[in-house]
Order: sequence, then structure tokens, then C-alpha cells
Amino acid sequence: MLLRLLNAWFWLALRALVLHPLRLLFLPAERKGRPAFLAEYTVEGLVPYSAQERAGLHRFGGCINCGLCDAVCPLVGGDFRGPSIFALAYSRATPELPALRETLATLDRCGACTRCRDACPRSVPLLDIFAFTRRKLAEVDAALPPRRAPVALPEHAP
Amino acid sequence: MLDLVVIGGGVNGTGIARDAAMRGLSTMLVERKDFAAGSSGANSGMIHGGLRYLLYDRKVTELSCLDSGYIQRIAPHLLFRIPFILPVVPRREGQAPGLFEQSFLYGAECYFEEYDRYQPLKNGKQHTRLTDEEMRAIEPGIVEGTAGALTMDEYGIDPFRLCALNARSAERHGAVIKNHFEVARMLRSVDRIEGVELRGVRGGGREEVRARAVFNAGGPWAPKIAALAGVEVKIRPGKGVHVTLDRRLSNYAIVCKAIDGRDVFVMPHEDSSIIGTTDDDYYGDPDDLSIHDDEVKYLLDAVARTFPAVRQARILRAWAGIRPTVFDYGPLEDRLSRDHRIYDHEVDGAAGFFSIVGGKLASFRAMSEEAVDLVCRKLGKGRPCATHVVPLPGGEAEAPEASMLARANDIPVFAAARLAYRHGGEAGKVLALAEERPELRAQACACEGVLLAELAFSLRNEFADSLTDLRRRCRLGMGVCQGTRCATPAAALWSRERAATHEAALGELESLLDERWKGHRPVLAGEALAQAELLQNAFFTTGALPCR
Amino acid sequence: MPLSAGVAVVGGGMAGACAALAAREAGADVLLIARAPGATAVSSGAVDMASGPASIYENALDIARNGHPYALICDLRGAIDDALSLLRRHLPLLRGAGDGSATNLLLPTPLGRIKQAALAQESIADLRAFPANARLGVAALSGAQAVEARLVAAGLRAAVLELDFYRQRADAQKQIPEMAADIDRRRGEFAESIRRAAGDVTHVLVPTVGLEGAHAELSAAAGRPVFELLGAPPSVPGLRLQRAIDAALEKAGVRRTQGVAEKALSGTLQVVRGVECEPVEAKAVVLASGRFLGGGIRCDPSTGELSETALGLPAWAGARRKLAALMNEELFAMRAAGRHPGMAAGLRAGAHLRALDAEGRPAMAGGAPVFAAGAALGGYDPARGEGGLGVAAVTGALAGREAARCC
Repeated sequence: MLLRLLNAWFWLALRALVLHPLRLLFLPAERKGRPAFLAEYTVEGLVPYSAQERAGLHRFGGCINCGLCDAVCPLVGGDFRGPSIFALAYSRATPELPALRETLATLDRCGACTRCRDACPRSVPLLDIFAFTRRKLAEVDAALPPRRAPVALPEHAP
Repeated sequence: MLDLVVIGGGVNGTGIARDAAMRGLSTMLVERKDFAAGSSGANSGMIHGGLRYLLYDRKVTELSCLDSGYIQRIAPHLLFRIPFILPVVPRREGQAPGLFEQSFLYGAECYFEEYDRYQPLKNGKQHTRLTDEEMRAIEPGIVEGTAGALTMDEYGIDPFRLCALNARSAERHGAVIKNHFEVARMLRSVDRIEGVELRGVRGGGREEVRARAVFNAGGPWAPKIAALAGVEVKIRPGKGVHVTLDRRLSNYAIVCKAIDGRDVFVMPHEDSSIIGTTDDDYYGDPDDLSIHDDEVKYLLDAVARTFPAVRQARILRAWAGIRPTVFDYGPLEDRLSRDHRIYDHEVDGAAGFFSIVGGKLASFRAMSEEAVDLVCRKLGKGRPCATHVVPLPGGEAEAPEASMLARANDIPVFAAARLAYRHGGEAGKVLALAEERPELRAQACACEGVLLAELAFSLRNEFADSLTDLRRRCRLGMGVCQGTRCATPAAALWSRERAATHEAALGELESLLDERWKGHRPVLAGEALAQAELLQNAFFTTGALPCR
Repeated sequence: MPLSAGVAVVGGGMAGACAALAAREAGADVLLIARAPGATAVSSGAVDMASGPASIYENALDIARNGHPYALICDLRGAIDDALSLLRRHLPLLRGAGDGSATNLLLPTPLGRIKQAALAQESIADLRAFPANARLGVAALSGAQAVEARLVAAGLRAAVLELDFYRQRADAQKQIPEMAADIDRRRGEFAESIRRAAGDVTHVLVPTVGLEGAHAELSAAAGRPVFELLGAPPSVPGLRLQRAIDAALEKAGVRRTQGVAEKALSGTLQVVRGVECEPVEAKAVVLASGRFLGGGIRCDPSTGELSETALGLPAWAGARRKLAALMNEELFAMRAAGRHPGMAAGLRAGAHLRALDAEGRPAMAGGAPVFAAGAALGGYDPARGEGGLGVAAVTGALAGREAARCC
């Protein structure tokens, strides 16, 4: 076991004294630091949250699933069950957003009548949540590798 | 006479049962409460690569990363990547980072660079080092004044699904699965254990099962089970508390230092973030864990020092589990290190009885292999291990694309996406249930996208028997509303699947609500009260359930 | 220009509405400040004054102790009668026992048990009034509702009526409020589908008769009585009640303004809308802003301290001002169905429902006396059969009348 311990320490020492300094010298900038981090992770939908988004995120969390916004939204019907899904599900995590692209497209029909926001007992800023979700989808889409670019959608019938 | 009875349905027990069954041993798996109802369901849900063993035994790190790779191969749909950010904060708060912090950063980066060698084994990315500004450009929620940060990544997994899939795989290979059965006593002769007597916990009567080998994988209950065999197994139980937030606060895990110097993570996990964990020696009953306000405060304070935004986050619930750590730390003996022990109790006068203690979620497959190797040696039979190549149910084929699945089946897209996560290539099988009964197409839960068809599938095929089992398998009640909307349709579905009485269905509903309430209670003071009021409204103000 | 009124009512649910309507009837000029819907909009359709086997009055007197708001009312019977007649005048969709007995109605719940309440919306079945030989049928429309319908039927010992009102696969995703809108639009079809499925069922229970509450038309068209079950969130009866309240307030000439009621520096009320601030000059204030759901009471996440949100008055859960999950069950029981004094948090009040301040004295907002009504008052938990909307109505009506006296 001592052998293994020595082996472990040897490699760490080699790294610290030789290999790491060499790497620092010769590695190009785009493979270090922030550009490297973003390149690695955003392709999987793991995009950063900006400072403004972070500041607003906690207000999104007020939804208690009472269903009042769904009951008053004029767009409910067809495939769309109401705006609560944005607070309850879509805005909680970014990696799945590309799968939700079509439902997010329903937002294009949203006229911001604000009935949903006015009906909410918890004053959840639904319109802000819509904007946030759309923005995040755009970011994730921009980061996706080319072969998984969005396919043209069929005509969305209401 | 069976070859092997495995006691305990955590990740080790189900892993051992699967491996043994796949090697051709006639196997039975016995679990008292439900798969992953113990330690395996109360940890941080991470599959990591043994980073810390770089300091003692690189072989262990290599094997851990290799095994992470195997788990990816056998259950690709269940793993999700979690990038980690390790900010290097000044030793003393308020001070500017100095030589100590810079040296630490240098040393830590060298360490991570070594780890980079093994990352490819598990499709992990290379580390990066960030300056203080770069770090905050990526994650603006971290406090200022750090010396910079290091990043790397590991994987998260749904541990409940993992255990259930292990069990299903075991059954596919011929094992008999007895969920909701406990071992009432061991069948023994003078110096051998010859089997077990089982007692059904939710009905099911008593039966005697004879076997050549009995494996105790009881986790925190391992000592109790060993005592039934007249053998002593010691563990050092450590209580760990976690807290779940309602959404991902960040897509990156942030390593924070608690007041006592311990590491506490806030990490994304499925659609939430979880904060964990505490570590306190626990002397109480593993069946009766409670959570103190102090433990929750400890976690929040730890994270808030590095990531202040956590103070405004909505906390859904707090949960606790026991870490069944090995009792004594002796010299490094076996190739997998001091983290776990496998005992052959022949020396203790109970031949045919084995125990496994300790370990990590991430190394379950390798540990199970080691355990089954031992059993096969003793029994003189068994094919080679194949648990690292044969996929778990759902891992055989790629999960269908969510929007196509949704359109083809008239289900909500979010539910399709979550179905693809939880069931991978078997998503189609789940939806096939909706062909015979169209109402199963409906959602029970919008927060987690759980269809009634998924609940039915689990009740029929995944050894689920209660609503609480379903919350483990399907994330029923685990979302934002914590059961407010989904408990009722789930109870109704359960009632139909089990042809149960009205009273029994309401009893199941109450049990689920009680289980959820246990998690709310420690975190109610604050915004959670509005949800609690709605939940109480939905079930008690309406008179749907009786008050007690 | 500040908003001025005789009586300023904070909260637009049952309690606020009763206060506003009672004050109006007493001749006051009333301004109602409402931020958003609250517990009333998700209520089940029942108006529970006090559960119990006896008459409403006796049940109420039974629970009028241990900090319950009823204990603050000298003439509880009179106050109940006042509230009942106020509701009769302004919210005719609510009906009571009708036979003058003042007993509780027996209402079918969303899980098939029975709930008692003093009043219920007329579209909701009162099982007491059904003939002994009635053959009940519970309608199953689609999706989760259809699955639940079987559970309800089992509880009520009723038949299940599979309606063919919904025929598309995608209809399985509909929730009950959406079904209500569909039913209002296609009422004749719905009635026909009931008729087709009913067989020998004499009384039909549907998840909703539509938001318009047209149960009489449905019954006529279906050839047999058609009633609703009580609603769980998202509740159609709750929505319907809130709309009826809004209409009644408008009809009675109660002025309304939307916004969050807060305390101005001067100690009076102001209405906040985003960055706008409008001060309110009133001779009396009624706090009917609800509890946690309605936003009238909050618990500070870091300190655990309870307070009322408009004027910052102290709130209590039993004897405690701070909430915590204590090892004993003083504030929250271990079981979901247990007794949770923490959930009954609210203002303390004195005689005439005057809200009390931190020193235990009657609170003032500027120079205006402050009254409290409904769930903003502590001491009762609607989830424990201690009265729900009924307490809101009784205390609201009383507070409104008292407040009007100050004008």
C-alpha cells in the first residue's frame, strides 16, 4: 500500500513541478478559463444565469399550482393547457428547453392580456417568466451543436 | 433451494441481485420498505469518479472513473452532467486573497489536472481555472473577493430509478423480487445460515426460503440483520440532511465551505437544486429520522457565505438519511479502498452468510461485482460478470425525441421529456398502456410531468405497491406543489390498479401526504406556508379527507 | 390626490366583500383595495360556519373559545343571522338548508366523502335534500377527472356514468376549469351526453356544471337533477364565487382599486402598484387580506416572525410570534391531517373586532381605527372544521358594520 501512496504522490509532484507549468505555457487561451468552460458545457444546455436573471429568479418560485391563471387564460385549448406550466416546469431547468420549443411557440400568440398575472394569488410575474424562458431557449439553441439545430416546425394549428 | 438471497433493496442489494442473476445464480431479493427507501434514496444522487483517491491510490480513481463510464453505458438516459465550480475564498472573511489562497489554487489545479487524465473514461470534460472575474461572469451569484475558481464535472443520477431498474434487470434474468417483505428470522443449523423466513409487510403472509448463501446488504440496518444470524456487524451511522429548492438556482454546482470547514454543495439535480449535506454521528432509530431547524440553517448558512442568492430561494423540503459508514478505518487492504467492507461470516460461525457495509452510490456496480465474485467462489458456480455491458431496462435503445413522442401520443411535451429521462428507450412501452385505456394519457403531475400511464406501468412492472413507492419511481409529488394536485388522481389510479376499496385508497393518499408533510415541516417558516395552506385547503378544508 | 373613503377595506375575498357590503348598507363610502384573488377564489363552493351535528348556531357557539374569532363576538347568533341575510341579499348563488332548520348541508367532496357546511352554491348537491330512493351517478368525462370519478362513485356508493362528451385523445389532458368553459359553450350537447349515459340513475353528479353555474338548465335538458361536486383547486365554484363577489361589490357601489396595501411613513395606508404609490385617507380600515395564500399574513423566512403585511401589525400562532418546526407538535403536527396551530396564524383582535397592535392596544392607521376580519384573524383553521368562509362572512359583516360607525 505504501507503494501506491508513493506512486500517487510522485505523480502529483510531477504535475506540480513540471507538467502543470508546461501546460500553462503552451496551452492556447481559448482552451483555458472561461471560453473553455462555456464551450464544454453550454452544448448540453448548461448555460449560465446572468445577474439580472438571478435577481428575478426567486420571484418565479411563488407558484403553488392553484390553477387560477390557467382558468382565465384565453389561449387554453388544443395542445395548450395554460401558463402555469411555465412557472411549474419550463422555467425550472434549462437542459430540456429545446424539447419544449413548440409549446414555447404558443407564447407568440400571447397578447400580454395580463389576465394570468392579475389572477395569481402569489403575484408570480408570469410575463417575466415567459420572457426568461424564451431567452434561455434562444441561448441553449445558440449553443447546441449544428447537427441538432432546430428543424422547421409544421404549421401550428390552434 | 436457491443459490442466493439478498437482503436489502438499496443500490448494493439490487446491484448484487442483478449481478448474481445475470451470472446464472438463482436469486431472491428481499426489501422491507421499498427500493432506495434507505440510504440510497437520501444521498446527493451523484455518480462521481473518486477524486479524492488521487491522494492515496490512483488505481481506485481509475477504476471509479471507469465504473462511472460503465454506468453511463448501461443507463445513459438516467445520467445528467453537473459541472462543479470550486471558488477559492479567503481563509478569513473580509481579507483579500493572499499567498495562501494562491498556493492552494495552484495545488488544487494540479490535482484537478491529474484527474483530467481519467475524465475521458467517463466522458467527463477537462478542468478549467477561472479568475475571480471570469468565475463571476459565468456564475454571478458567487461572492466577490475570491482568488479564482476551479471547475470540473461529475454526473447526477436518479438513485430511485437506478435501484428499481437494477431490480427489474435482476428479475429479467430470473431473480425473484420480494418488495415489502422483511426477514423475520434466519434459518440456521449449527454453523450455517440456510435461508430466511420472510414476513409480508403489506400483506403477503409468511414463507420460508432456503438458500445456499444469504447476503446482508441492509445499509443502516445491516447490524440488525446480522444479529438475526447471530453475528456482529458494526457500522458508524452518520446522519445527513439535504434541502431541495424549487428550481435550478444555477446549472453549475458550487462548492461552499460551512462554518466548521466542511464542504457543502448547492447543486442542480433534475429540475431542482439540492443543498447538502450534514454529517453527524447518529445513535437513534434509522426508521425514525427527524430534522431540526438547526440542520437546515447550517446548510443555508454554509451556502449563503459563498452564494448569497440562496437566501431568497424557495425551499421545498428537507430530507434526511443515514450514511452506513464502515466502523473502523484499518490499513488499506483491498483494491477498492477503505470505504467499504465485505464480510464472509463463516469465520464468525455463520457459514453461508455475508455482509456488505459502507460504500458509495457511484461504486455500487464494482462493489456488487466483488460481492458476487465472493459468492460465486464459495458456491463454485457462476458465469463471468456482465453488469458493465448489459444495459439496464430503458438503456438498450435511445430515448425517443420528446416533441415527436408528445405529438404522436397526444401527451404534453414536458411529460414526454421527463418520460424520456426516466424510462429512456422504454418510453414507448409506458405509453402503450394508454392505448388500452385512453384516460391514462392524462397527467397526474404537471410539475414533474408524470402521466397516469407511468404510474400504472410502475405499479404493474416495477414492484411499486404504494403511492410512496410511486413517488420514488416516478417523482410523484416531488415537484413544486409537493402533491397538492397530483395526490388525488394518483390515489384514484392506484385504487383502480389494485382494485382497492375507497377507504384503502384514501388511506394511501393520507400516507403520501404524511410522507410529504414530514419533509415540509422543517422548512415551513417562510414562503412555504402558502403552498401548505393550499394543500390543506385541497384535502382538508374541502372535507375530502378527515382531520385527525 | 389621495384616495379617500369612509371605510377602506383591504382584501376582496369573502371577508372583504362582506365588510364592504355591510359598510355600504350602513351608508358608508367604501373603498376596496385588492391585490389579487386569494383563498376565496380557490374555495370549494361550501361556506362553512362551523362543522357539527347540531344547528349552525350551536356548532358555532361550541367552537367559540380558545382564541377562535367567534369568541370575540358578544351576540354570535345575531352576527350569524346578519351575515346570512347579507349573503342572501348580495350573493344569491349561496343557499342554506332552506327549511329554516339552520342545519348544515351535506355536500359531496372531490374524493367521495361528505362535508358539512352552512351554505353552499346552489349548483352543488345537498345530499340531505335527495330522496331516500335516489340512484346516484357520478359522471366521468375524460382523463384524470374520469379516473377520479370512479373513486368518488365508490365513496358515495354511486354508479359511474361514462359520458361521451369528449371524444378526442387529446381531451384527456383537460383540467376541470377548461371543461367548465367547454360545458358552458356546448351545454345542450353535455346534457344530451348525460341523458344518453344515465340509464336508471335519478341524480347526476358532475365535476362542474360550467362556470355560469347553469345547473337548472342542465337538469331540465338532461331530464333529471344534475349537480356539482365540491371543487378542489383549481376550483370552478371558487372562481364562480369570486366573480359573483366582484359583481355584487360593483352593484352595491363599492369603489375598487387594484394594488398592494402598505403602510405609509405617516402610518396611514397607501396603495402600491409597481413604483406608483397612492396614499389613502380613510376614517376606518378593515383588514380582510387573508392569511398566507391571500398574502395578508407572512412569516419572515430568516427570523420566522409572523406579521400582518399591510400595516405591519404583529401576528400570532397561538401564544407564539415565531414559527418553527418544534420537536413537540406545538405549532405543526407530525401528520398532514393533524392539528397545526401554525396554520391558524393571524392578527389578535379585541372587542368589536378591533385589531390589536404590538402593545395589545387597539391598532390605528393614522387616525383611523383598524378592524380585522376573515383569515387575517388568527385562531381558526378552515382545514380543521373550525369554519372557513363562514367565519370570513360573519366577521366581515360585523367588522364592516363597526367600521361604518366610525364614519
